Amino acid sequence: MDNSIPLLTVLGVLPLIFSLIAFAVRGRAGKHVAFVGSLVTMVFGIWIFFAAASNDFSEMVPWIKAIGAWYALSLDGMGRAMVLLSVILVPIVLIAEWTLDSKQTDGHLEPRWGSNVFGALALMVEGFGLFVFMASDVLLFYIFFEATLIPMFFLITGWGGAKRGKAAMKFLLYSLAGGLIMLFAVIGVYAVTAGAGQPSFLIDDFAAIAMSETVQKMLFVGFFIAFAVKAPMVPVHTWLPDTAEQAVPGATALLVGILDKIGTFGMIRICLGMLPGASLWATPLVVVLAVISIIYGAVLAITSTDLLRLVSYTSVSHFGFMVLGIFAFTTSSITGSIFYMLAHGFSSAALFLAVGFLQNRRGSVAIADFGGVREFAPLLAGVFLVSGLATLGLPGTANFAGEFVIMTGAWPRQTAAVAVAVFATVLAAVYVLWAYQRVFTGQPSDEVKKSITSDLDGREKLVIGPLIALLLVFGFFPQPMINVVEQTAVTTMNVVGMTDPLPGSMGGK
Amino acid sequence: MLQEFLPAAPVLLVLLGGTIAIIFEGAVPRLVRPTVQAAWTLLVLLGAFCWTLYGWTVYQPQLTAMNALTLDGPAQLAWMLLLFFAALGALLFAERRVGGGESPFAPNASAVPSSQVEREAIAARQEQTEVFPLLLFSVAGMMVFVAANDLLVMFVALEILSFPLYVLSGMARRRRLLSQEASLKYFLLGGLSSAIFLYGIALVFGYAGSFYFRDIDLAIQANAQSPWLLLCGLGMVAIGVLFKIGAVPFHNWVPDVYQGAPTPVTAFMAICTKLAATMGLLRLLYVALGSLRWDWQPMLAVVAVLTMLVGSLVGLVQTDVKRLLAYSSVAHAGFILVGVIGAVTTVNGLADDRVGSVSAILIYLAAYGLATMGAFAIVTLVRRSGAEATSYASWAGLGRRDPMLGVLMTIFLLSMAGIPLTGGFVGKLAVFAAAWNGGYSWLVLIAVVASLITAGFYFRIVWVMFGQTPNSETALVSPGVGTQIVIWVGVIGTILLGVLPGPLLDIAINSAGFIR
Amino acid sequence: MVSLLEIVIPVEATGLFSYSWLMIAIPMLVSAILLLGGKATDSWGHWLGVLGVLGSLAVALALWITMLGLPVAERAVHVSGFDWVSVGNLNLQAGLLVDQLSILFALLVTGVGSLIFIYSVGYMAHDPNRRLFFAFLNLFIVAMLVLVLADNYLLLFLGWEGVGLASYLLIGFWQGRHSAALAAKKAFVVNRVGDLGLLTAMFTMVGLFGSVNFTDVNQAVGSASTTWLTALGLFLLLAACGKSAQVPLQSWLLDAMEGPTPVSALIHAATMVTAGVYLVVRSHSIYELTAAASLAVCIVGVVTLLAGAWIGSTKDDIKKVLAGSTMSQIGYMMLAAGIGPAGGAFAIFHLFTHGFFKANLFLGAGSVMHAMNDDTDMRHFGALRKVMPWTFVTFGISYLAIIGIPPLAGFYSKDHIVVAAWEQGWYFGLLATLGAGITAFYMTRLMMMTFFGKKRWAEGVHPHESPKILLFPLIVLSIGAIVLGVVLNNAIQYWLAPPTGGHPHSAAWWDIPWQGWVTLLVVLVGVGIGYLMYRGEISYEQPHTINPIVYIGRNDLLADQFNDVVFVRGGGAAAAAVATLDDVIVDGSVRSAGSLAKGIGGALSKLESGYARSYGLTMVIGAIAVGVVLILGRLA
Repeated sequence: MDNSIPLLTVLGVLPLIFSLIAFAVRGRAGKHVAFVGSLVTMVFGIWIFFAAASNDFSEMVPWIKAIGAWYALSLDGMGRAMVLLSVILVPIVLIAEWTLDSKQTDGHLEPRWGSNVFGALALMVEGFGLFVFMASDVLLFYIFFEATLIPMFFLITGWGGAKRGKAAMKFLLYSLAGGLIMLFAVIGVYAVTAGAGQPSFLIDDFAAIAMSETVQKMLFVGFFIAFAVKAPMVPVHTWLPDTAEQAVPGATALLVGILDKIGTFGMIRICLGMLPGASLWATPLVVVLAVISIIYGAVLAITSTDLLRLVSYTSVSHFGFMVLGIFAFTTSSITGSIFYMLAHGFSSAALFLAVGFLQNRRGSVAIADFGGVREFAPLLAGVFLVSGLATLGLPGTANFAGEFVIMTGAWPRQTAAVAVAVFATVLAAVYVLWAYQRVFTGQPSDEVKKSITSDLDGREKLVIGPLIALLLVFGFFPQPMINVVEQTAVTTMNVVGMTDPLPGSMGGK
Repeated sequence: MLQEFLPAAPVLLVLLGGTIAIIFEGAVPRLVRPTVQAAWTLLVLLGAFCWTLYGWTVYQPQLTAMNALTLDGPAQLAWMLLLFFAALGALLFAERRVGGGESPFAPNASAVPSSQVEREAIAARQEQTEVFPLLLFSVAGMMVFVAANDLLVMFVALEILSFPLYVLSGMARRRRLLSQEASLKYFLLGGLSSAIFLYGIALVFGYAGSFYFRDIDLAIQANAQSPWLLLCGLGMVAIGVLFKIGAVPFHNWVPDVYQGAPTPVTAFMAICTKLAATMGLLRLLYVALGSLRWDWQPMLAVVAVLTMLVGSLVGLVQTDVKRLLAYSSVAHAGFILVGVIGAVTTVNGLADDRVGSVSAILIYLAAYGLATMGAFAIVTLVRRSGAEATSYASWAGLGRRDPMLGVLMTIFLLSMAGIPLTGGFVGKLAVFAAAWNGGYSWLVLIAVVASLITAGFYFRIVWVMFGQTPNSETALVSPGVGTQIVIWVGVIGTILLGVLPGPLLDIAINSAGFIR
Repeated sequence: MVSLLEIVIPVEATGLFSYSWLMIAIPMLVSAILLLGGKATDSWGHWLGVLGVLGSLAVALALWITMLGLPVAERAVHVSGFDWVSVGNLNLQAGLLVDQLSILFALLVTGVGSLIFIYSVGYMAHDPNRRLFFAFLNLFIVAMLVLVLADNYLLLFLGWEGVGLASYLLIGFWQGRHSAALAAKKAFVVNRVGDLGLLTAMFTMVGLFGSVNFTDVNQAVGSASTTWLTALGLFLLLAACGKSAQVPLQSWLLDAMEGPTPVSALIHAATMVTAGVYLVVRSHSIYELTAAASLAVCIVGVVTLLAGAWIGSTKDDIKKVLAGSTMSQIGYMMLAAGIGPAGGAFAIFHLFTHGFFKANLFLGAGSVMHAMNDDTDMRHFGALRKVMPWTFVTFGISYLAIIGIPPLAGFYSKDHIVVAAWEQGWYFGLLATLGAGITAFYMTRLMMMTFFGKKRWAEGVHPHESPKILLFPLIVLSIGAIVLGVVLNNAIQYWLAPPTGGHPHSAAWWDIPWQGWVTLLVVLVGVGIGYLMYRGEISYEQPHTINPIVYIGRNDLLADQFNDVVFVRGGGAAAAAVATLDDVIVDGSVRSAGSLAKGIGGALSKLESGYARSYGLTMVIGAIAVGVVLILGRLA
């Protein structure tokens, strides 16, 4: 492979360039530019995904020598999976929100900006997000981690419900709070490496440095809090439902599908990869928090009276599974978590966007405003149900593969935690099917009859079809992707210095 | 003799330039005078800048002007930054287009507001072009202040830099009363702080028997006398400088003066005064009082915490952009102090070729200056019936009416909030890193929390600009060339510093050594 | 303890067996066509649906015939699939196991399935969504075949959940009906509770044995501690309870009768609900080593067989009587499965025959409903034997079969279980025999209320015999109910011995042990009581009752009330509490942090008075404070 072209940089910059063009080209043309940009990025990203299997695309250029910051990009298995997720989701979201400017139903205020801006911002999120997933320098990681907040903030403020401004602010301040605490830890990384002789922000350099336990724990806490906010874990999750409720589903799909993965991504890449000792030290607490998230999120999803809030709470629950898998320290549980990150990206997007279809028709996402929709939109009911079944982890969907591998892997080490967490599978059935029942079955009210006049159209099928197909493909044939992401898990296990429990070690005679 | 003063020539050049400008007041015809004065001022600042740059490449760090000034890395960098920002400030001073062809300054500063005299002055298209020489004198004072090698020179410089500012603050064309009130307050409180500063000098002299920093340091190391005298002197001297920086609890003048003063003056003051005061404080604390750092570090830590928290918390409840920027400046003073406290190495300010306190603070000030200058420049563009409209309500929907302007303002605010890819982030990173290296990681944690609170109000403005419905009563005037230069220099500098801070950081690190 | 069982190691598939997956693929393809084809397939979709299951049946038959020709040792065939997930220590493959047990099940599923599909063509003729119905039915066949043909617990679980999904879709097929939607959801959720058991069982298996493959697990069970094996057994039992509607997870089955009647016949009587029994029999090597878990299986079986019979005796809804009966009959199977290797074959035997006669009963009930304008209340029936002779005769045959009148199928299959129960312990035997008596009672009651007595038809209802397409399956099934017992009585024991680990002992079909005679006697008593009680007038409306036995039975043993109080209300209150906690404490603290910051900011801004004098004062105070800090610092 010709190393003279920095392909990873190209991948990250590509959407950013299209984003700028889309900003500049006003109106509908800009919307098309953004969409083309997302497609180009998708093609290139998918090529990178496959090509990275046999090529090392790493780039490393000294960036700020004085503080040991590098412009260093690389792509491991987890990164590849996240790249794939990002490049696929963005065009889908753009199609889903294609009619954003004409969306002026009860639930939505007039859009603040032209339709090109949504696409441009989405591409910006994508570009920054890709850099986060490719960064192998902590400072670079941090910088893009924070950078994603700005376009996301505007995506939330721009379109959606009446209280979107407040929601966007809450999202931003929450994320910034996490981010700034992380800054504290990032500076600690500098202080530690500088203290050891050569300041460096490279993740690989850091692992080799001996430091006091206190410092390691302090850094761990700093990083972990940021990631916990991002991966909405209880008790720092409350920004997500508010945001999801107010933003348009497309924006939320990007947020939950891609950006929130930075949380779990960072836990693996940075917490485990750089601070293995402290990660082990924190495991009991983290696991308890993860289990609480799992159950708590599921319970709140059940009590939700708003579909978007409901879906966002399911994510809280699912992120709990990922964290549980990560901190169970087995190759399979970590692999399962990474796989689940991918699966959840698709399933949550599918569900959010399906709710969006309902919202576009009814102008509301309050569950009470629905009932009997299936009669008028059987296909919509079908895709909602399938997305919901994926969310509840029905075997045959990618989510099941993720959850199952996580729990199976974690069982020998965290038996009690898994034994509690597994109850979420029942709660998941309750929240998905109860919502389905109240929205789609029964006798339709007059308002429903009036507002639900059409089933899915071609554009909407184009949105949901690929997502469902991906969920099924990854559900029945997860192995190829497992192979991809396993590499990261194996590396992480080596760094942490843990070995997998052998069969029989749990309850043999 | 001349040789002795040659390295200090930039200071002399500015002073001389100011003096000549006063001659211009009498010699140049009234109608061309504003143009001539502005051009002359820029020329002088540019000349001084070039000379400093030349000197920086040529001269070894040395004492100069008969040991009154030190010409070391920090001093030269501070000079360059001062001259640079002063030049940007001068561009705003000279801006007429945004005011509908009127200068931002009162036509006749001595006239009572709304009086017959003033009306006549307006009708006669009079202008107080003395603002330009005043600017030059103030800059000269600042340059001396950051390079002073003894306490007396420092005091004199403090007064030279302050007096023109007192006058400039009271010269706003619009809302004169507010402006004059600000001026008076600034003068009264400045006088008080000067007095404390002077008293402190006397006490330190009493302890050390000398005004020279080097002698003071040696005296402290020799443990000459009872430390209580010295401690009191330290405290009072520090207070004098902290006042100028705008640190809590010596900050009360900041919001009133920032709001009342003409915006170009506010911009100039916000950056250059802070820059000069900070660098002076660094020299004072590191060079003269370095051996006392176990005493002043905790004291400054308390001040820094208070400054950050008060600046950020009170900023939250503001509803006026200019006043908000004042509180933001207070908060930033706190962040700067965090870096000062780090004091990674005291005497020479160097930490093994790495980012030390001095270089970190220089970077911070550069980033802060760029963003603040740009932000104030934009403040001058938002007007209602001719006057600047600075309430949040008038700023509503600005970004939707003029997306470019909104984005530019957002970039400045992001930089102030310390969001990555802007200069403000690099500055914060460097300053916090210096503090951590100095063993003050807990202070970094507080600073991080304060940063979050400041982000709250910066993003509130972003939200006001982009989220709210445009206010139709507010006019967006198009900027003149000067203002445009200021804004674009600010934006490009902010982003450049955020994306590629390496070169400047290297320069700062290599020039961070104090001499004595 | 080392297992005394011989472990059957399946041989790799060759020849025809390599194509076993076709059994699954054919209905899957059909289902996909019907789902994706949309309305375009409306006109012929149902026939394609029938073809799907017939195709499967053909493959199953071919395999079975091939298997008959093979030596016993080669009858278990493994068909390799693909790596599903292979990571770290985890190695999960998707592969099929075609052996004597699974092929029997496959035959049952596709055989009875074919008949019910044909029946459905007629039964659903007027439903606008008939195509969808057949799509779902094929989906069910796919899932059920995956369940029984899987060579490991994970793939089994795929089928397990798949049938759950199909069941959900079909119970709620008439989604406009609120009750149907509720029942569907309930079925799925309750099943999920059971699935917890299967999930944890698999986690445990991986932890203990590193595999979820039947063969691997069978080989490795000896290495695990008894405690974990007991846990494993109980986990699997939980799963079985959910799927097979065993106490305490029985409550969904009665509600599931909201689905179209063919669904009740196929899924909720003949095949899916018996999957729990299949699971326990499949896992016999585990139960072999844990007496406690086996005992638990027996207890669950006995309790359920009585509970189901109790419910069946009190209901007036014909389908619900049959549903209670299904519970009860599966209870018998569970009891047998819990008894051990010998019981396993009997459980499957009863499962098989039950599949026929119960399907027949349900389809017969469907035929009756068809005639009575979809009324299910037996109090509105009566005297139907004359207007619906074919239905009456076929229904009557299965009636005799289920209550266990020799030489019909049910007699033999149940007889074995009762005998085994007596041998296991007299209390089991006694209760099993009692259950048989109650079965006879409620089935007689059903017969009396439906076909005999006076007509109590609602106005405008004109019962008539069903069309041939509905009758044909009834006839075929009733033939099965007659002959299967005699035919399979011995053969099935030998056939199933390898996969169930049983030790068959031959007995001729006329060779009836004493327990058989006792049971027969009790059955006749039950019939007699039923006849005496229901030969007279039967009120049109269900009479109010204060008889606790009747009341509790009518209310599904108060399971719904219990669920309502504990889970719906209790759980709902807990969830509401969590929601409040989330809003007030978790989010509230964040919100109040925000307002606190603003509050402090506001308070501090009051210090900004605007007076130079107060600013000066602040400075002076500040100066003093600085001095104090400096001095304190020195003193400290």
